[in-house]
Amino acid sequence: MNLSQKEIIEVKQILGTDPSIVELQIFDTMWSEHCSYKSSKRVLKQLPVTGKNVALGIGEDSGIIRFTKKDGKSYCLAVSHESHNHPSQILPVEGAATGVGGVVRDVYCMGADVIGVLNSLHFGDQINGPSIVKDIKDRVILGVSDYANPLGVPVLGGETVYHPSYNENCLVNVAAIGLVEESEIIHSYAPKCAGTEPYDVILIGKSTDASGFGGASFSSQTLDQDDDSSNLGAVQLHDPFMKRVVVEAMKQLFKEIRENKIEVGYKDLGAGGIACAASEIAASGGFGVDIDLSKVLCGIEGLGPEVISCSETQERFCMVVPRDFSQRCCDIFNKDFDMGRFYPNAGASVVGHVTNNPFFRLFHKGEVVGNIPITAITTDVSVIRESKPKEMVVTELSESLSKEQIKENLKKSLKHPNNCSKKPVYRHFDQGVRGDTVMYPGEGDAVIVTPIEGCDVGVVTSIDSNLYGEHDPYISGAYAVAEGIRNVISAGGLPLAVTDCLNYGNPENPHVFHQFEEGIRGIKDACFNLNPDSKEEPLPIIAGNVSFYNESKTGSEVVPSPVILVVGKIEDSSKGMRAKVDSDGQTLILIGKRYSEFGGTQIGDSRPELGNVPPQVRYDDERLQNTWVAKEIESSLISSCHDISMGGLWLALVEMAMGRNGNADVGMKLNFGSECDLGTTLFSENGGYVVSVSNDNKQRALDSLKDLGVDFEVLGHTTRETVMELAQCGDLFYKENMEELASHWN
Amino acid sequence: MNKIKIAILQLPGTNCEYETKRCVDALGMTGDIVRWNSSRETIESYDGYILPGGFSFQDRVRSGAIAAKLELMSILEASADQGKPILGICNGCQVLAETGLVPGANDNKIEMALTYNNDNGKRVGFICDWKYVTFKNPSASIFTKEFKDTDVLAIPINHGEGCFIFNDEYVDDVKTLGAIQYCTESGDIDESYPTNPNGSMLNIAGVANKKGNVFAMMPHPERAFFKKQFPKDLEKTLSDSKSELGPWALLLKGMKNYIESEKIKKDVG
Repeated sequence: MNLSQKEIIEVKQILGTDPSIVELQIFDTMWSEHCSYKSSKRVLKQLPVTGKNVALGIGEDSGIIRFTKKDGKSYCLAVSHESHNHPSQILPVEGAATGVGGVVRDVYCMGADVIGVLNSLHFGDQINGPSIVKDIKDRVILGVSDYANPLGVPVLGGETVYHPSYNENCLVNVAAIGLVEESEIIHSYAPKCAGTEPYDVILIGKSTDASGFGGASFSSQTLDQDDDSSNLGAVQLHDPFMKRVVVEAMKQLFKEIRENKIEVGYKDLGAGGIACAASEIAASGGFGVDIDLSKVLCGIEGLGPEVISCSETQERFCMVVPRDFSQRCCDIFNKDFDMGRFYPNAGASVVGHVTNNPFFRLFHKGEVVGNIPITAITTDVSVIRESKPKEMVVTELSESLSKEQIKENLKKSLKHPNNCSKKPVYRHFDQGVRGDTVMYPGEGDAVIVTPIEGCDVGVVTSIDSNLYGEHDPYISGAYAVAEGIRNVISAGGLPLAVTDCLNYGNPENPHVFHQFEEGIRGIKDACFNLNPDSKEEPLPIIAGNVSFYNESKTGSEVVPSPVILVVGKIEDSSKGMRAKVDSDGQTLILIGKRYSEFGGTQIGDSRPELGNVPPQVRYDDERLQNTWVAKEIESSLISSCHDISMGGLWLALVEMAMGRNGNADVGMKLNFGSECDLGTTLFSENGGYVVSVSNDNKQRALDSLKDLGVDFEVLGHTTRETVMELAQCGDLFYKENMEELASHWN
Repeated sequence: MNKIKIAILQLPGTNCEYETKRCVDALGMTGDIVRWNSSRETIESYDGYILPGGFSFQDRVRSGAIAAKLELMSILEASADQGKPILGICNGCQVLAETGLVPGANDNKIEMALTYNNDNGKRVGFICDWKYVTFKNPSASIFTKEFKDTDVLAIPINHGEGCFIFNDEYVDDVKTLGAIQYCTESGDIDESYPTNPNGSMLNIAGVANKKGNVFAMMPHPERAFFKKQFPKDLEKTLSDSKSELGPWALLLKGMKNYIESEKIKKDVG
């Protein structure tokens, strides 16, 4: 239990009596940071959440953005983005798997079909950290694949980031994207007519057990407050097989609902289980609800009412339907799909009904076990947190890297877990199920799928974060948005919307809360300044999640880790842009100026002489670069394109040579000018791009760059001989076989 | 002639039924997604069957083991005996192995198994990647009939348990069946990992029954059915024709041709 003494007194005042154990559980869940956003709500208000293409903004289980029109139908993308950090630290397989399971439920319950998931995984130091961090990494990856693969949704990308601050608190963020026709969106509240005709509450899916009891409250405290064994029970258990069957049955259900024009409310069961879902579905429609816990189909006997009402058994949904449709609804799950035949008591059952009384009443074996004014559940709980910046001394670059240091770092940096090929991670994830994948992970900066049959319009998406927040929490937010936008543009797409998952330490620490506020400010500024579609309207944020209390056992917080998903579209998916350069004689051009800003970068981490200013986001410059790249991909001037981010220009070049398969078809012969600081040029992580253009297109590319006023530099060209050659003013200082580089990077 | 009707069988846990249906439809046949507990009459009314990929019955006991015991499978066995074509992909392949329908040397007794992906016995886990395969005795199965034994094609695999193991006594028989085998880009049957990504005997990626009307394969042809599904670096393996169909369309083309010729025989008969 995580309620404070002050909150318990408030509960007593609301109820006018001592709360029952069921009531206490419900308040503990509903008022947890996880469910109530009590610290963060005030800050989140400054984010842009509306826009001309937003079909459904923040407030229900997913946000929905309009995607494209075909045959008179308006297709939309429903997106949800969540964290599952604490469960994954305690039980990595189950924690990561239910992270996927939870986020896809948010999308399915809107009537959408999930077309893909993305993940952002942050692990501890694999080289010097304790051995458990490796184990957690392996098991989290197994957990993601254990869920997404059987469910039959492709993993459309992701990132793995390593840093010692995650040694005792890994981060597992997952986002899901679904496709839904605008006219077929299903809402997560009881419809108006539930006030005038009888509406039943039906519970659907896996039979209820005790798993995940207390999960929401567990995610709203630091991990060291309880011993591990009591935390274990709070982790939910995954069953993607069951989910697949439930989802197939739901498709049938939704089809009949649409055909018969039946008004329903549909919601997934996540944190807080039945208590949370049933009360919210009724309350947000303006109704009360009666639930008889004895009617809940349970997987085991003898569960107490507080467990039945609040356990977080996975693979469940709840719906409100007109009573005359209840029987047919249950039959779909129990007869047509015969769910009880392969899992004890799985299926659908009527567990209560919507009322016009403003109370959430719970019954068990004929007795009232909870009676809560419905307003108490929808009450805005909030706490004011103190905010104070961490004291930091800003240092600038004092000594450039020598040629020897540079040469030493070239190969070494490719081996680092943050920089090396991520194929050993994503090869475990099904990337092609549904058959819609047209640009696979590793081919370009984003993944492209074409989810609408007979339509070439593609969804382009990427998920990103960085390690700059330790030095400047504003930059971590702004850069993550800028990078996501860059990735979508680099793949040939245009961004439509953003979602955020905000991972921070304990908000009760003033400097942590300040990091959070600054991260939000950065995200907001980037959304306002980097929307390629409009200078006036920001890119909208359509979904998000806040995860606090991510810290080590000794109380030091994780690097501020706002994780950003950008979803975009490409009109003609056959124009999807790849990163790999596969022919010789291509000219390589660097887009975007390099600055000596090394705070939080891969090379800056261990070299104080490089200063601690992280890579700044220069909105006007980035906007211009984005405009040029988008335009010249569209005009087919560019042959391949890769963005610059973690690892800098050097890593970008190596990745362009290696491609999806990790073997180079060509070499690169590069020559830098006399005025450039080599260390800065090769390793700085300022945003930018590397593009390759054919000889025929070279002059046109250079002219159009000059016309637009974009900062660029011709780096050199690709060669038939598979060798990497680096020179300054014609003076060769590094030469290495691509095969040798590949052996380090792969 | 009536339009050819193919049942794409949906077991609890199947997850590739929709994209498989799209391929069937693209060749002018009618693909229906048919639930596992449908009536015998319904199931028997189809001209051919596909068991798509997925995780039927949660891979309980072994992949495919529970599904193999369903009444549905005895209906399919009888249909196979009548000469109807059956294709099993990925989990469908595992189900066919568990029923003994392939390789079928000995009255549908279980003659092969699919075990975990391994490199000389060391587990390599779940693999999602593109691999090359070539054809052995293509004319021996209706599904591989349209291919040549010199063809080398890219195709995605996506499984944790795809290592074909045959009883020693059947190995010589297997060598005579229609089959696909993992190979290098240039077509060499290199038995080592990762060319042979799961350690299969004879590099087998898919194998037919003796009669040639049942085919079980671990790779996913429905994900390499249209040209646009290929990663750019594998586009060089595609033909220059304007058709949007990729090379694996020929697999279902073989199925379609066979059903058509059988129907003509019946009509004439």
